[in-house]
Amino acid sequence: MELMLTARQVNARTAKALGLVDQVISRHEELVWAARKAVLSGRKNKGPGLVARITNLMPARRLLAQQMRKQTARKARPEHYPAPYRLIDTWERFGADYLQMMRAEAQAVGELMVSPAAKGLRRVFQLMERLKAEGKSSDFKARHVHVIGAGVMGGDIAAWCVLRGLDVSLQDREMKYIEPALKRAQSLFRKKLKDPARVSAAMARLRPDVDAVYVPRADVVIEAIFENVEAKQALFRELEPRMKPDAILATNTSAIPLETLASVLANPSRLIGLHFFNPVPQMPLVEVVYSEQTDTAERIKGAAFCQQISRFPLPVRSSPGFLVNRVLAPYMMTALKLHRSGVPAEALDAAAEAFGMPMGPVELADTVGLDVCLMVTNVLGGAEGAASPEKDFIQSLVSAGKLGKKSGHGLYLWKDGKAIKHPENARGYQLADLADQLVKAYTDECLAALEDGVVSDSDLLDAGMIFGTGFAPFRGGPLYYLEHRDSQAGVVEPEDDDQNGSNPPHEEPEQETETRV
Amino acid sequence: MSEASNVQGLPPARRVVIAGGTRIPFCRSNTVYAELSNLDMLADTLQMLSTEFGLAGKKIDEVVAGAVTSHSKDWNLAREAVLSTDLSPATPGITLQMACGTSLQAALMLAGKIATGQIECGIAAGTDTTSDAPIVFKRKFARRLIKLGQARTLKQRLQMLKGFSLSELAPQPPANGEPRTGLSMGQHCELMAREWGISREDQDQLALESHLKAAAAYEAGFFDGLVTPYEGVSRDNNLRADSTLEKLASLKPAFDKKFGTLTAGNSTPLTDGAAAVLLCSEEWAKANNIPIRAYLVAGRSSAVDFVNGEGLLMAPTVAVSELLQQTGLSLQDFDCYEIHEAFAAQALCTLKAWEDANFCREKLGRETALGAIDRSKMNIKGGSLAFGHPFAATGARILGTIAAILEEKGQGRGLISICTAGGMGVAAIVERN
Repeated sequence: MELMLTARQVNARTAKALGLVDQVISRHEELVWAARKAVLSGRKNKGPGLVARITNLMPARRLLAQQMRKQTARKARPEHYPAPYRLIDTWERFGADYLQMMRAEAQAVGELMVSPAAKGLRRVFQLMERLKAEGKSSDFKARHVHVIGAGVMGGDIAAWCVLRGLDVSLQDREMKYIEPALKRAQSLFRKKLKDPARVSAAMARLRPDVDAVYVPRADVVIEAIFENVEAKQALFRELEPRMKPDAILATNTSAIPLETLASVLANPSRLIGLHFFNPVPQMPLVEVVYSEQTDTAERIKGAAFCQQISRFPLPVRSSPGFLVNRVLAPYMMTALKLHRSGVPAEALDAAAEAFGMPMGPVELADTVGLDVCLMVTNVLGGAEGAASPEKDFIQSLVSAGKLGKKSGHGLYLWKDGKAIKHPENARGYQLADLADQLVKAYTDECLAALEDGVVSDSDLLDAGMIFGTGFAPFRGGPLYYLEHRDSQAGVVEPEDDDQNGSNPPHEEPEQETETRV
Repeated sequence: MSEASNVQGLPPARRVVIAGGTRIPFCRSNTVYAELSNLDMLADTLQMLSTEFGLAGKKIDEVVAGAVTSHSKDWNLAREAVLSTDLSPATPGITLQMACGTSLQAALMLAGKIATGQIECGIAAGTDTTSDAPIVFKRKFARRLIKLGQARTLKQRLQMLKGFSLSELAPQPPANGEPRTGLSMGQHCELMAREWGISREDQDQLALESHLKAAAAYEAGFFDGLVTPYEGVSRDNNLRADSTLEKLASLKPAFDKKFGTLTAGNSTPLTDGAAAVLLCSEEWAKANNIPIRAYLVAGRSSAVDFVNGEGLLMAPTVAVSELLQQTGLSLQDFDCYEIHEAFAAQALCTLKAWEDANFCREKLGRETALGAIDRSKMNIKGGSLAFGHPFAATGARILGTIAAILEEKGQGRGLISICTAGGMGVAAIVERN
C-alpha cells in the first residue's frame, strides 16, 4: 500500500525483500534463461508472509486505513487528489475478498482515469516528456564544469554537478570564499551518498580553483558572481580566449540582459543563460536563456547539459525576470496588496493552498527572502518595479533587517525553519474569493509572458510554471487551468470546526516551491 | 629517434597497432569499489573501450584478459565479461594469468597473432580487486563437503562427519605472498633493498616524484582520454597531489619494523581497478576508423631463481636485457621508460642492477653494464606508486599510457618493464613514427 500511495520506487534488492518479486538476477545473468529455469522447475510464489496476512484482516485493515488516510492527508488533499483515498477505501472494504476487490478497483480506476485531476496529471507527464526531449538533438556531453562565484548559487550549482558525476572546479577570489561552499557540498554529499568512501570520492571531484587554472579544460563554464555588469563583463572578456572553442559559456544572472553581457565577447552568439533556482538540489527546473543573437546550437547544448545533470531545461527568451520570476512577482505583490488591506497572511496562504499551490504566496515571499523579492521587482521595472506602496512596504521590512525565513522574521515570525501561523486568523474569510484574486494575477502574467514570446508556446509555459513554482500539478498548468477551470475542482472552504489548525507541516516535498534569483 | 625497421622483433610480417587504452580510476581496496567484483569492473572497462572506439556489435577476434585475485566462479572471466558488453557475442574471451604481468602478457600474445596474420584485432585487459577476495575453506573441510555430497546412505553420511573439528571451518583468505618462501612481496623487496643498498630517502624521493608527476599529468588533462570516470570517481584515489618528503619520511616501516626501509608511502597499496587496450593490424585500423597511437614492436618474458637466493622482483632486468639483445638496441635508445613501481625499492634495484657491471656480466651475460637511463624520461606521467597497482590491470594501464605519451611526443620509442610474483618479469618495446 505504501508503494502505491506514495509512488515510491524501490530497487531490485528491496523489491525482493518486500516479496514483490521472486528472484533477482545479477547483471551478468540473463532474464530469459532465469525465467525458463523458474518455469521448468515449477517454482511457485510463496505468497504474503504472516505479518502481511494478519494486517489484511478486518480489524487491522480499519486501523491501518485510518493511519494511511492521515498520512496521505499530509501530502495531498482529497478534493485535489482523490485517487489515494479511493485506493484506501477499496482495500479497507474489500481487502478480504480478492475478486470483489478487483471488481471495485476496476470501477474506481475507470472513474478516476477520466477525472479532471487525472487529465491534469497526465498532462504534467506529457509536459515532463516535452522538457526531457529538449536538447536531445545534441550529443554534447560535459565532463568538466567550471563555476565562478562560490556564493550560495554558485556553490550549490557546483555541488549538484559533482553529485551528477561531473568533475567541477569552483573559482572565487580567495580560498576563504570557497570554503563555505565546500562545507555545504560535503553535507549534501553525506545526505545523498551516505557511504564515506563515495563522499570523499565526490569531494575529490570538487576542486577549489582560485587561479582559474581549469578554465581551458572545462566543457561548461558557469558564471555566478554578484550582479554587477562591469564585473561580469570583465570576467567574460578574460574567460572567452581561454576556453575550449566548443565549451558552453553560461551566466546564472537573473538581473542583467544577456545581450549586455554578450556584447564584450568576440563571439557574442555563444553566451547563454543557465538560470538555476534556489535551492538547487530541490528545484528541478533550469531556465535556458537565449537572446536574438544566441546561436541555436549553443542553446541546444545548454539544454543537453541540463539533461546530463537531471534538470528540466526550459528555453526562455532573455527578458526581465524570464518566465518564473516574472510570473511570481505580480502574484506575490497581489498577496501583499491584499495583506496590507487587512487580509491576514494565514488566510492568503490557506486560499492558495486550497487552490492547490504547495505553498502560499506570503510564506513563499518569506522563504525566497524579501530582499530577493525586492531585487526581482527592481529588475522587472514596469508596473511592478515602479514605486508602489507594496514595494515601499518590503523596502521598510528589508531595511529593518526582516528578510524572511533566513533572518527569522519577515511577514511571518519563523522558528526552526517554520513559519509561525495562527490558523484562527484565516477564519471567516472566503478562501475561494481570495484564491481567485491571487490566481488571476498569476495567470494574467502568464498570458502576458506568452504574448511577449518569453516561451514559444503554452505547453512550455505550463511546464515551466509547474516545475519551476509547483503550480497545482493536478490542474495541468496555469494556461490549461484557464481553459478547463469549469470542469476542475473548486476551492473547498474549510469546515468551521477546524481540527486544531489544518495546516500540516511541510515535509520537504521533492519539488519545493521556493524560487530565488 | 629511430626507424621501426631497425628492430628485429616479431616476424616482419605485419605491424601491430596500439589503438589506445582506457581504464577506470584505480581505488584503494575496500573503498569505492568495495562492492564490485572483477567481472563487474572488467565488463565495464571493456564497455568503455567499446564506446571509445565505436566497437558496438563488432566481432573482436580475441579478448584476452585476467585477474590475479580471482574467484573459482570466474573461471571464464574474459568471456563472461565480453557477454556483458555490447561487443558482438561472437567475440571469444580467453582468461589468462601471469600475476602482475597479466595484461601486458595478454597484449604480447595478441601482438604475436596479429603480426603473423592469425587475427586482425584483439583486446588485452586486466582487472583486480582485493576487496572481493575469495575466501575458501581448508582443503580438509572442502573434501569432507564433497564426499558428503557423494554419500548415498545415512550411515555413509555420518561416517563423513567422523573426526570433524571446528578448526576446519576457519576460512582461508588468499595471502599476498610467495607460496615457496612464505614471505610477502614486501619482505622479499626488503631483502632486495638491503642487497642493493637502496636508501629510505631514495625510495621516498621516487614515491614523491611519482605522485607529483601523476598529479601534474592529471592537471594538464593528459589522462582525460585514458581514464574514464566510474562509480563517482574520476581520479585514482591513492593519488596524493600534496605529498611531501616530510610526510613520507614520517611513515613507519611496513614489512620490517626494526630495520626496514619500505613504508606504506613508498610501496603500492592493495588496489581495485581494471584497464584495457585495443590492438589491431594497420588494415583493420584503417577499415574501422581506428586511430594508430603507436606500434607494439617486441616483447619478452623472463624469470629468476628467487628460491635459491636471487632477488624476487629482479626478473625485469633479464627480460629487458634479452629484449635489447634481440633487437640490437641499447638501454639508452629510448625516449621514454615505463618502469612499473611495485615498490620504490624494486624499481631502484632494477635501475642499479643495470648500472652494475658485475651483475650485468654474471647475471645478464654481458660484457659491460647496460648503463644508466635518463631519469627525466622515466615514468614521466607518474607510476604505480601514485596510481596504485591492481595487479592484472597494471600492464594494460602502462601500455595505454606509453602509447599516449608517444602520441603526445609525436614520435619516439618507449620501453616497458614489469616485475611479477613468482620471480618473473615482462618487458616490451613500443614505437611511434
